[in-house]
Amino acid sequence: MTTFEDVESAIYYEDTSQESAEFNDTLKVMTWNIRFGAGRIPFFGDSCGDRVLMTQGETEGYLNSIVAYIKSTEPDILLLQEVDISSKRSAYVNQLQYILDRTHLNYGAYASMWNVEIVASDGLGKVDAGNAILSRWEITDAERIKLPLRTDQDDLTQYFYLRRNILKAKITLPEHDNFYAVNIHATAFAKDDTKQKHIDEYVNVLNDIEENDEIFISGGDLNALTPWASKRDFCEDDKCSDDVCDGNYNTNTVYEGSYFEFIPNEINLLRPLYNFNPAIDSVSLQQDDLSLINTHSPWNTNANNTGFSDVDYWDRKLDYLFTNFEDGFINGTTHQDAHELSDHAPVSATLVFP
Amino acid sequence: MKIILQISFILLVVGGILLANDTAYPLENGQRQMGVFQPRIYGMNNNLEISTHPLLFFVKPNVKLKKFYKEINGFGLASRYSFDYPTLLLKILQKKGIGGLLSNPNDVGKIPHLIVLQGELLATKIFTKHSVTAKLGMSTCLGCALDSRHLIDYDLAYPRMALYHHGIGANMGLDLDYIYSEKISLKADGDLLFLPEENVFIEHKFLIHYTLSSNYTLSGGYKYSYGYYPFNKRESLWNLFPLFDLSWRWNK
Repeated sequence: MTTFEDVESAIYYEDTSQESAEFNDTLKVMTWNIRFGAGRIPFFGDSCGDRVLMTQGETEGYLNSIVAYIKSTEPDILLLQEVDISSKRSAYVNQLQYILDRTHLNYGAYASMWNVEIVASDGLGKVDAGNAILSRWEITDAERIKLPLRTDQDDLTQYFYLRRNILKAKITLPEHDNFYAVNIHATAFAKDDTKQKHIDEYVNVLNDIEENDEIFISGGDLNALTPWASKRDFCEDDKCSDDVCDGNYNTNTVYEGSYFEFIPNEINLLRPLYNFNPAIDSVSLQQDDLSLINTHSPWNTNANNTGFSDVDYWDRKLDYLFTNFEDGFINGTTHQDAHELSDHAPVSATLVFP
Repeated sequence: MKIILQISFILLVVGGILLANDTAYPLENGQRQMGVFQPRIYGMNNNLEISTHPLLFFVKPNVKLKKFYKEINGFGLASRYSFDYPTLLLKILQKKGIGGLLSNPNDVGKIPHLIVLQGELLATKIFTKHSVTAKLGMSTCLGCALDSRHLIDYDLAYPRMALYHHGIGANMGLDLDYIYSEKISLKADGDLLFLPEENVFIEHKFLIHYTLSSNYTLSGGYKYSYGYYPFNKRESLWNLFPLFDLSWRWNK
């Protein structure tokens, strides 16, 4: 198990063949949890399945679809979560390098959230997975900022468990030397106050950038619902066939990741982030415009995930984009058409510089 | 409890691999030897030696037969043949949840019957205070085509399990034994493991044996491994592992 400093340098990547990177005063940003290139394969752990180890063909097949989607949406900066760079479950394909080499994006920074030589559980084996920032323009000052560990696990489980982080990096935008991208993947399954700590640290990082009169775009998979989400218990949607939703939130593990009221006042967990400018504005969220909102659904919503419209396919919002750029975003979009590529939909938005 | 058993079996398997003792000369007829991690060795008549790991036998049936032929120009010559059936052990390791080193049958597939045969030639030259042993061997796992995703991609385990995927392999090595004093002896060895479509794997160990009494020996040292694994095809990796064991001898 690799351990990390509180703050340490992230790992830099480059496209093997650089593409042109003209800046025309607009900047499209996208965040996407790509589920380690596993598409909708029914994996163990998160979707009631048996699958553990993909073949190289399977991995590259899904990655090619992800690459095609990225090329069609043309983000200038891309925040990715659950990127495998050396994991047995995804045939050891370095997914960050794979995407860089096949898209218009030229530079990458990576911060591992799970780096274990061998996970002796379910045949998972070696894992190295984490967050990544990809950009047309050079990335500098990339930092991996450590997030607190869960405290609701035994020591052995915690030793082999995820080390979540915030990835912060400077993007060398032409004529803008104060522009940062910040990527986070907050805890999903904690039943203690870890999620609160993660969001607090995230807000602190963003406030620090703002206080330095610098600009950020930021986002990721926050594993938290909006303050306006009325449904906060997804147990019946997420449970596997043997599971029972019995209301024992703290002892029944089926509620981990499916119940969004473990911490006090969790409904307001993300409210401080709405002091910044969101990609999907709070008015849309309050009006329950589902075509703009939901970004996630588990595999077992339906046996083969067919027969859904784009809106019905997703059932909760976990993925967000924010900026402190004073004009805010335009064209905030939740890409609900990206059905089979991940269990998360990308969210994108554009900044227009004067 | 099941996990403790699994860990114990893994320790036995790994221990047997790490501590293997190579010399052309067999134990004398009637002599017996065993270690915590090493197999039980029986010295037989006609310069035969049979060894097996009795505890491991129930989940990984294994037997090794060594036949010493004669000395030529001071070199003792022997051949060694082994049989190994790892299927049961691998099935134990193929499980969901903690302790599962191999993925479940619905994911990658069932563990097939794996019968591993190995043949080796050994030549040992004994000097006053030291001896040198050269070793050359071939291994087959005929008909084996274990899905490569079932291989444990880790030092020591991978080159041995890769045989279940590739079906054939070879090995060569050199052992040096040195008697330092009445109570202390040293052992150093180096081994090369060859497999189709793989870079060569290199292993080396160094052990200090301390004779506690005429029957008991304490051993400690390290094992070094070097190789290219599925996750680092372009950059080699090395690792060091501590070794320790207690072995004892007795006569029938």
